[in-house]
Amino acid sequence: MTMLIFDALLGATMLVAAYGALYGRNDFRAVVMFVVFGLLLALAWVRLDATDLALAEAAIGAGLTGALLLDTVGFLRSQPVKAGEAEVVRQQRLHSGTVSSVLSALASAGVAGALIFALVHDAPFRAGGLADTIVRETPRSGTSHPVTAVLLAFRAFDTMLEIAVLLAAGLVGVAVREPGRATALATGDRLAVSSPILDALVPRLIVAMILIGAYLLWAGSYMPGGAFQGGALLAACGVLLALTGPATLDMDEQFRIRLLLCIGFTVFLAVAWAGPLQGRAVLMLPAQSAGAIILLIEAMLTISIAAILYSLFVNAPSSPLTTSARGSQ
Amino acid sequence: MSGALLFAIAGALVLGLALHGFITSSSLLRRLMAFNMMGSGVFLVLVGFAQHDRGADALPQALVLTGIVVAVASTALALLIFRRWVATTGSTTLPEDG
Repeated sequence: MTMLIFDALLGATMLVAAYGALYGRNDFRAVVMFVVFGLLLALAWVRLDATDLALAEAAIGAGLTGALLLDTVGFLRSQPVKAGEAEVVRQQRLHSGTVSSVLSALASAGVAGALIFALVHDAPFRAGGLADTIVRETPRSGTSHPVTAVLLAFRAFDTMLEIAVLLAAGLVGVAVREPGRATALATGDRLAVSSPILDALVPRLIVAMILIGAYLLWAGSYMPGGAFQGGALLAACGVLLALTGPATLDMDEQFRIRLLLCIGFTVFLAVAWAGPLQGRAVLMLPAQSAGAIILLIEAMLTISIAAILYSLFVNAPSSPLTTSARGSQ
Repeated sequence: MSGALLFAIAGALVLGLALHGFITSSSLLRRLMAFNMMGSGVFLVLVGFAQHDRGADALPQALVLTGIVVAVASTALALLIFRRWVATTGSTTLPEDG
């Protein structure tokens, strides 16, 4: 009962944070509330016994996405936004018309209401899921953690296509980057901000983050953790380095970067088609070495996920603040 | 009423709220955040409903884990395109929004 009250409070706080993120007075406040929402969501995952999701949400939903959004807010502030645009946006919201505002409120309330009705109405009649089957079959998959078994053995096809989607996003990012003008981060620019605390903290943090990322990857074979969480942490590590800039990775080495982007998908594809060549089904792993192969795929996935997310970040147009700071030196 | 179902309902409410924010805001940044939160609401519904009155279920959890990673990649890509849009046009909204 006590926990149910806690859950209800957590849910309500999440809604308040979501409201703040959607309707906050300025973009900075909204992004901060978005990060708060992500952290509360991570707590909700813990309450749902989904430690994998809690780890991913804290690293990705709150951490990495928050950092990307905050950096974008900083970028927006540095841009010469069209005169009076903020005013226009505000006016538009005021005068958007009663009919359309009532309609949009009705539509969203209808979607949420219908969904809640269906959830409450159908919950007692729900048929059994696959949870028991998964727990029973996990020991045969080469890993002892059920979520990893689903991701890399039972539903490995989904995960392979997922890394393909990520690769596509990364490639679009490379294609969309501004031609001619290398992004400031690629040319080794650093923020105008510099402080002894930052200089002392960042190298130590980087070491800790790489260690934790590697540990998460390794832990994934027998407990919550794995390629996604590890990869996100390494990407966050890259973003931290790019923002504070004691040492930037050289994005101009295009070939090596592209190799990192696609190594996860390539290795996954190779493993998938090694099956038919040896008389097994596609993506079927040999029973005696399944554990080692899963770890290999996960390691490559970690590298690719980190590289893709990092390259998406550094390929974005950066604020002229950093570039001009360097230009004037 | 189990805790899991409670989170599924919270997810449905987040989905509705974020949908409203997505419709009404003209700033592309806010829309992207609203879109992200709609995804989070769907994830909560998926896992919460599947785990109602029973323990952890690895299948929806693995599905949602995949979803979270795809969401962050698409968000990063959308932010990249958004920043190029702002750098090119000087506007944070789309033309049809005024």
